[in-house]
Amino acid sequence: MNLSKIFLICGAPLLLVSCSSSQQLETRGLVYESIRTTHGKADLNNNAQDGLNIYVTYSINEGGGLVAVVSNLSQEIMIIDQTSSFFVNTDGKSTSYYDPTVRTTTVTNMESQTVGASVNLGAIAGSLGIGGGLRTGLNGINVGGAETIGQNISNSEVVADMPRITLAPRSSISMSKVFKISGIGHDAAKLTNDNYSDIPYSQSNYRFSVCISYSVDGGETFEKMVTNFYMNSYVSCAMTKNGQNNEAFRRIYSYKPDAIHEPLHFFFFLTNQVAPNTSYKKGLLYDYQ
Amino acid sequence: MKLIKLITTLVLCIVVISCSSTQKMTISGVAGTEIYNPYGEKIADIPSSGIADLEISSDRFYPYLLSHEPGSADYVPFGIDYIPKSYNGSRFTKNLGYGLTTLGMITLLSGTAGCIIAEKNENDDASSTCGLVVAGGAALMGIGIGVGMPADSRLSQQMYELRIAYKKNQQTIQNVQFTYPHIFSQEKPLQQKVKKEIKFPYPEGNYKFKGSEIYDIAGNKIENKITGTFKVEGKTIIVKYNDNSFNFSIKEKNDSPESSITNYYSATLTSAAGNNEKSISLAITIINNNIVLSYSYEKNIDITLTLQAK
Repeated sequence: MNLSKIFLICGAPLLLVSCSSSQQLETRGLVYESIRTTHGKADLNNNAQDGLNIYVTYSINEGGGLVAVVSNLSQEIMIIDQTSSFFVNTDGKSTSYYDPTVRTTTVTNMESQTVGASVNLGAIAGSLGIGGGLRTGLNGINVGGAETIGQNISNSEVVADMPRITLAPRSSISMSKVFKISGIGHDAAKLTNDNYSDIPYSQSNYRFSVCISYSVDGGETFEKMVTNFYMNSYVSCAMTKNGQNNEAFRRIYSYKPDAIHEPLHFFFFLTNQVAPNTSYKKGLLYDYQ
Repeated sequence: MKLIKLITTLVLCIVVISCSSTQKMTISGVAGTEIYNPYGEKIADIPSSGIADLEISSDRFYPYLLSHEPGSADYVPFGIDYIPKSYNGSRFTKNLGYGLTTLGMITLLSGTAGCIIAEKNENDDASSTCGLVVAGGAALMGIGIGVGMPADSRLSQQMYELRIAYKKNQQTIQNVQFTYPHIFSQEKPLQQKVKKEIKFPYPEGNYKFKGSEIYDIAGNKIENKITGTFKVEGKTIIVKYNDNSFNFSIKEKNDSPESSITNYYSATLTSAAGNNEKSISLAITIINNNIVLSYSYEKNIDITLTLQAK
């Protein structure tokens, strides 16, 4: 048997084997979601903080996980009462921030990340004029995954599940839990004909809230800050052809021209398999008192 | 000999192609626009021609990129189109390479075994032949690995795994007039609260609070902290805010005297003003054995405080 015959015999099966393959990516559609608070935009600059005690930055990740970062803007020691602080989900179920079964975790540097949440504490601290160094993302606060490398920060930052958390003056802390918001995020996104834009709070099917109880007088009196959130826009767009991503963006922008200026918004690609970068998130929400 | 040369040339070509792990595309847009990937890394500038040439690693799948015009605060996501691509050529190359490797290994082992037998039988002709077989097997293995490994490496890249390729021509979305939601004109009012402490006793009467100052009913400014002895039991404080009344009842509980003094008193807020009670919060605390009524309200509103004995 000569060499060419050997190659022929080996090559044919190899060619057949090469036709077997992994699943091909199919993008079925693009979904846009935006979340607001009931009180408007509410982000502050350094010049508008006089008399404010508490400033809370809310981040919602692509999976619908909500994390709150509390900043103490006062000159007093702040006490956050976790037993009286709650997350109320879209189904109305209330969950306390205090869970005694959770272990305490102490975070001492900027490389830390709250579970699944992309919050750049340094950027938040920097935007409020408190704390130390920061490396901001694309939009000044946060784009995609917040990456904070190699910068320690002087804020007291303790993620702890204790009934009460104390917070030094002019510092920030990440609340100890990430709550999953039902119906919001990549997993819940789906194609629908029921698109809407800029609906009021009363008409939204996805309303949730956070209540944070805090004291700035050594625990003698507690104030509560309630922030109400809702999904105010939902636009889904089926692909006319697999891979026509640009056209899908154009159709969403056509339906909602203010899409990229919503304080917190997402784009989700609906695909037949897990693929990288199929979620886009921008923005944070704020509240203060 | 010709066949070996042909195979060598083919293998070299395949290896060179295998090392190419980028995908090329052009992006059309307004000159000067910066292009960023989803990780926030700048990857291109649109030149004056309006078309940027771009090479993206096959190991990164970007369903979208962001465009940023200098001087603008906006980073606009735009979709990157792709087409299905099977990459069967690479798969064939990988399998061909590993097939050759296997074949070479078998040949090598067979030749080695033959050499050992020939050595034992002291057969010089057989020894030289099997030596050639061993050398051929080793060469085949080398060629197989050289062909198969680069192809295998490429196939583990994202674009190959997803079996897609970027379209050659892409476009930014810069012809859309992006507007701003009305929310930007709805800044949360600065509910800057003014906290007051009123220490009992109060002489019965009417007091008007204007901003952070306290006035009596006649409009005369008085101190905002009054100290002295005071009987709490049975007192009701009426706070009037914009002609709406809120009644704060202060009563002594039946707790034992030994318990914390802060538990003796409670404050209840009853409102005749509908939703306006949100504007005022009230707390009763004990500071240095004084009963302190703390309440806060939004800045720059007038409050009339009336103390009445029941």
